[in-house]
Amino acid sequence: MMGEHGIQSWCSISEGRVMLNEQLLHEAPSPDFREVMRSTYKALGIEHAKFHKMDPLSKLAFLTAEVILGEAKRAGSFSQETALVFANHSSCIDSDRKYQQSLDDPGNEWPSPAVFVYTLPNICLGEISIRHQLFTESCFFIAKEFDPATMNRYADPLLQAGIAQQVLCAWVEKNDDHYTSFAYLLDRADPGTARDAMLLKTKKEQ
Amino acid sequence: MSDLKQELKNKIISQLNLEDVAIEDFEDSTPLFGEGVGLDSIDALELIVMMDKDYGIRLTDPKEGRKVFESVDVMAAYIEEHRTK
Repeated sequence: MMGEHGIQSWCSISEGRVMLNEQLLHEAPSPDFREVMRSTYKALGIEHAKFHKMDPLSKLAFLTAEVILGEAKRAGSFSQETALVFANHSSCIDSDRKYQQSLDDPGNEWPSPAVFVYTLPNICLGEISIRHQLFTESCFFIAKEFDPATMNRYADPLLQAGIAQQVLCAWVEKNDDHYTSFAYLLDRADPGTARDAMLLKTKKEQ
Repeated sequence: MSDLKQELKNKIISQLNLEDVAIEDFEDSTPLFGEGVGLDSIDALELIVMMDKDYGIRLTDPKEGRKVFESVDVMAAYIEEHRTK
């Protein structure tokens, strides 16, 4: 048993492949991050102009959430009472670097406000909350590695106390050319199973 | 003036990352905010930076900025009148 609550669905974006519940949902023409984001956005038929203005971490988190919450909407199990528990290792390092470069440019008196707003990793949670109209708890941990035990320790009380009906837990890592995401949706009504524990163990070891 | 309007449209699209918008998609008179091109408050800050950097125009009054960024038509006219570079 993994704990009090079970995994309703899971998804991942890595090496140009978008997976949903062990099925290939989309494969980008190349594993290049920009190409993966662009082609996945189109393949999912999303119309959200703000997406193109987001920083790389927010794009990755947004599409990851879009896959799994979109599936929940199609299945009729989506709840606006979905909390967000996210984590990664590199925070928003891409945007930090870009902003630092603009600060270091002697000819640039005014660094870009559009870059500055993404110099916090939890901004991606705001983008997801706006998109899906979530008015719930959210947090973003910086950790050495994906640790489902820590995430579940935060998610389970939210579900047990009825603060959230579902919790979307996700590891979204983006640093230069490297990117990977893995998300799973915990449901208050589902008991945890051995299969859930195995899935998380496998993902942690990858 | 029409060259300046074209230049402004190109800059708005590229600097604000409007990947889904083409130059033909908005007229010179289309509102840039709200239901027009759909720019937001962060975009307004980017436009203020662009006015300073590219045309030497410093906008310090937010009310003035709201009027100047009404459309490409209004922006171009304001730049023609106030540009220092």
